[in-house]
Amino acid sequence: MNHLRMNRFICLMIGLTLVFTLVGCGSQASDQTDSAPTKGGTLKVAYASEPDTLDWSFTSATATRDIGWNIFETLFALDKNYTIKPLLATDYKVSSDKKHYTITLRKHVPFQDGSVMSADDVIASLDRWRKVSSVGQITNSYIKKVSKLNDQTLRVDLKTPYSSFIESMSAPKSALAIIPEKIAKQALDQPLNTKQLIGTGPYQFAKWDKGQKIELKRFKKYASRKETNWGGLTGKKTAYFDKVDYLIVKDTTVRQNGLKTGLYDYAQGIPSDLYDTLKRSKQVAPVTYINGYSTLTPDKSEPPFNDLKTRQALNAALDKKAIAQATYGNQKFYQLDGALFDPSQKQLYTKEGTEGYLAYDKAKAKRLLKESSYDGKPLTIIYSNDNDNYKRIAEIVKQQMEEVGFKVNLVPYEWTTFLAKWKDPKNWDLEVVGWSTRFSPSELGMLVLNSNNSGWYKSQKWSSLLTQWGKADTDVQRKAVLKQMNETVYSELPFYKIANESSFDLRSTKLHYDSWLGERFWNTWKTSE
Amino acid sequence: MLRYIATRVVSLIPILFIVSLIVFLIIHLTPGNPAALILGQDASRASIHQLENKLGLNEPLFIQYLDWMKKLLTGDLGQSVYSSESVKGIIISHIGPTINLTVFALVLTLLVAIPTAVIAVWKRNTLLDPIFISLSLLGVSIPAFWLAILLVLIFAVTFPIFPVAGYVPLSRNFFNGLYHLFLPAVILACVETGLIARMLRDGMLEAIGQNYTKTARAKGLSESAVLLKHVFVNALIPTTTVVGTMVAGLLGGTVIVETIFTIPGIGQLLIDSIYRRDYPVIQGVILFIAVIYVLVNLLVDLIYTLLDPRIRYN
Amino acid sequence: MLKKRIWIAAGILIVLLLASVTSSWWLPHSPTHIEATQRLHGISAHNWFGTDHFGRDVFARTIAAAKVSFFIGMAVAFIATVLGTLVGLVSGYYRKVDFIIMRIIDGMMAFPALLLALALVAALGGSMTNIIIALTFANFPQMTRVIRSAVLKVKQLQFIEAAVTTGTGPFTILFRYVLPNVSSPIIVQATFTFAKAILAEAALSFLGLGISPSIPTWGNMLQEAQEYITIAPWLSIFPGIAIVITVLSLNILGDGLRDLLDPHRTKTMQPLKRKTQLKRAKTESTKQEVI
Repeated sequence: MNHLRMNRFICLMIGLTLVFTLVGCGSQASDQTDSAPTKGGTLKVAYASEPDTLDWSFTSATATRDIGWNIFETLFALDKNYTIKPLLATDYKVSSDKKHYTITLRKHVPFQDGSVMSADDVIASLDRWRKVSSVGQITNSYIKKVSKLNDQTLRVDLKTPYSSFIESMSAPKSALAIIPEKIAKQALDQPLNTKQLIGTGPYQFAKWDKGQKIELKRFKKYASRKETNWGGLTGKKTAYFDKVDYLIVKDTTVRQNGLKTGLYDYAQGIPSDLYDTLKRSKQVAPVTYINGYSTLTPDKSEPPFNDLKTRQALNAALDKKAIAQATYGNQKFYQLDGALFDPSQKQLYTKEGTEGYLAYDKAKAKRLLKESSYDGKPLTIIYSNDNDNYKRIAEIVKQQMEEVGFKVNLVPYEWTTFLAKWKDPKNWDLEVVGWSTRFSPSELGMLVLNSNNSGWYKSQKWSSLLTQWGKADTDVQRKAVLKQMNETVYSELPFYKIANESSFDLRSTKLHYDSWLGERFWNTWKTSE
Repeated sequence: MLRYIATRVVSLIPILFIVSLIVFLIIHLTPGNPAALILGQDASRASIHQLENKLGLNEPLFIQYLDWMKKLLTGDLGQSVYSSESVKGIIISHIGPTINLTVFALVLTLLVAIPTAVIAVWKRNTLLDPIFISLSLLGVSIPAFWLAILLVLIFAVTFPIFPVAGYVPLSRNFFNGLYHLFLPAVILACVETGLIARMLRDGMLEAIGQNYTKTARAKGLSESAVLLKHVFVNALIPTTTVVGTMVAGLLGGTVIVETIFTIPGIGQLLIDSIYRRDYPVIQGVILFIAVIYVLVNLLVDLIYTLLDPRIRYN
Repeated sequence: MLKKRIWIAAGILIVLLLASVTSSWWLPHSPTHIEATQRLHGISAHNWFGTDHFGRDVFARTIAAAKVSFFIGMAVAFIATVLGTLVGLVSGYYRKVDFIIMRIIDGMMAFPALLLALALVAALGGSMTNIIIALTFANFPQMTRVIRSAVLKVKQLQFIEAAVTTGTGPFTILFRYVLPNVSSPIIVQATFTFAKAILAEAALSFLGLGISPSIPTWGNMLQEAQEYITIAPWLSIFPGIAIVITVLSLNILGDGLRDLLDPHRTKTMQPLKRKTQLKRAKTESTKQEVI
């Protein structure tokens, strides 16, 4: 009886809420209020592309990262200014010969399976990271030995000094996520399955309905740091929501309309053309952040792009200005810049050596193509049609390539299928994808030697530059290496940078959210008006 | 009667056989190795070979088909490449929304189509008739997805009366569930109504020419009484068959409507699986829909026979 | 009145077809030329239907897309008609093979046409040829059924029986006597198939499973337009109207032809046998499947 009455009451309340929402839509003017944070409720995120795994160490995919860092944490992490701060570690010391690192850990940090983090867990996680992560693999070549000093301290001995050691350990992609020893040893070189998604983060994994949604819930025993002014991925973190639902919504229109009508609280990946209209809206607010750049990568293991001439012909065929303008529309969301890093990354950015970036010259492209070994066979461009920008880039690239004499087929895939197809050189000749902002040359996924991500790039030059980078200590030395890196990219043409992009997400104005790189949902709450 | 039912059921066997054959051939039509398709591109050659042996892909096509059938008859539809769950389980978990949407749209269609058709026949010699014909033709000429875009723009975005997308299970909250399904169902029904109303009208017009109608009229019954008592009732029986057609149209339409409104039903599952190249699921869904369609038509036929015993002897 | 309707519908279709076939000579803009500086412009004297997200002229694209839609529609209608007529003739005439053929046709018709086409495109890949194959396969069973039932009726006519008794060969009977007498349902059904194929192609493209996105088709245009609906509604409106006008014209044409070629239908006041009426209700009932 009671139960029935309750149901009726709920119906009535929902009815009333609907009426109030309808009435209220026009009148809510308040932007992000500074009211006290409220705990509880479910955050509904319209997520554009479903990740193939939530293993933050295993892949560099943004879709994995943006959910993964709610669950997992690293020893060191970037703060809001992209500088490195400790997270699970308290501190580290480095010897004067720069070959010995002593890292101390925070005490009493519980994992989501109830166990408490110790040096053994960190060593096991490090071991696995050195095998499965692209950043870890590069780091691995410097590591001689990792040893436990006591439960809270470990020591890493390097073969040669590696100035980006701590940097690599705090990479926000292919990250050194700290997981329990038992799980690290079980999983080995396989991605973590859903039962193994155990970290120390503020939210923990709850459920994954493939193709529908991913559910996180608050980790009640989360041990937070205290620093309120660090931001980024470290400092004080509070999980205000009981649950975070990532709903896989592939349709841009549904994400955007759903947010406007209150179906979602946060929507990822909104077309930048809508910025001017949405900016004026009272229910929704734009969230923007730098998000790396879009690229076109040729498969260099097979003809025709194993021939540098063909790659040069393509470089001259691409009118990047037109591509960027037609793809992103709003100038606020793209930047024509040939450097490997973003101008906001002062330590890493140099424009020197990027002269080959804008090389559009149709006549030259035609001439180079004639001289090349290209035999007129149709080439396959693969891309994910979950992302409108990639789709558009592929379409314009096709047109520009055909103007100089290439023959091109476009083959779109759903994101996870795209990731699978990408792995085999037989499936593609060119591939369009965006790479999010990186924080060290060793993290540049599109240049990981002889991997599918780089289109099987093989280069003595690049690998020696990476070694030089590891040795470079001063800013001047680093900038010199960076300049040579730019030059190498534009002489060997392992990939074509299209343009720097900014991401455009939308949030409900009721959502208190601090924009940074990607979506993090701790210290985020919904005001209930 | 029982005998009739038995013959009707037996006559389904060849149809279901053909259905299974078509579904089986879809995956064997695909250019390339089915084992590689099932395992995905990154599968090793050894595991492809292993699966080939396991699935008997080296056997003649005929034997493969028999094996596949054997599994099918025990209810084994195979495993998804994408989520490695059983295809049967995946279909079951997606069937609810599609049934709700289809039934809702069916009811809406009949609610609009029947009265419209009666009025159209009643006023058949007035200007209403050409208007009715034009509208019904317009109904079948509008692409459902375009209508969906326009209606969402008007009734969900500009005037936010209905939700733009989403699904609430009816079991969790009946009215909120219906509220979420309303716009999708209206779109499905709009397209279907034109066709169904037209068929009902044509059926009734034909009944008007019948002898019993003339007799009734000769008896001095008023036009409206003739229409309702004789024409409508007599035309209604054969038009139960229309429901079978509608189910096909609606099931086809759900693919588009579910995609646009992100309703986690069979239609969306099919499209997602096509994008994922998840062939076992594609096969399973197509087979499932065809079987449902065949069964609905059987049911309709049987009901029809119950209502009109004359058919049995034909 | 009836004839006027048919002429208007046919006139619209012919004008559209001619306009799109000759479009490369008279269109002021190229339908595929990307003009990054002219993105998402509204309706103007320069761009009658505005421009899209690549700055391409929507009017040019709408007209050029008609070519693709008409080609697919015609190809599907033609192949399905030829196939359906042959199979329908054989099936309706030879009772022995009829049972087997009809079971196969029933089996094929157990799939909603759009789903069958979707599954086939998924298996074969989304090229123009494969889409024509898929849509033909999905539509020809319907054709076969209509023609078969027409053949069954014609077969009972006296002159056919007379031909049989005088020893005329079956080939001659089928193609000289039966075929001309079933030509009206063939023409009518072909028109409807044409309409359905255009709708289905648009739906496939809209779902992203159609022809390569670089070729302008109405479905592709609507698919791309969807995300701009709030800021550039003209992108969604014009290709949609083009589809409706074309398909509506085809349906009016088919409907009109049916009334013109078969004046007994619906207008008849003669008592029909119950049995034929039932059959008709059933065949009619599967006539159009809506996408």
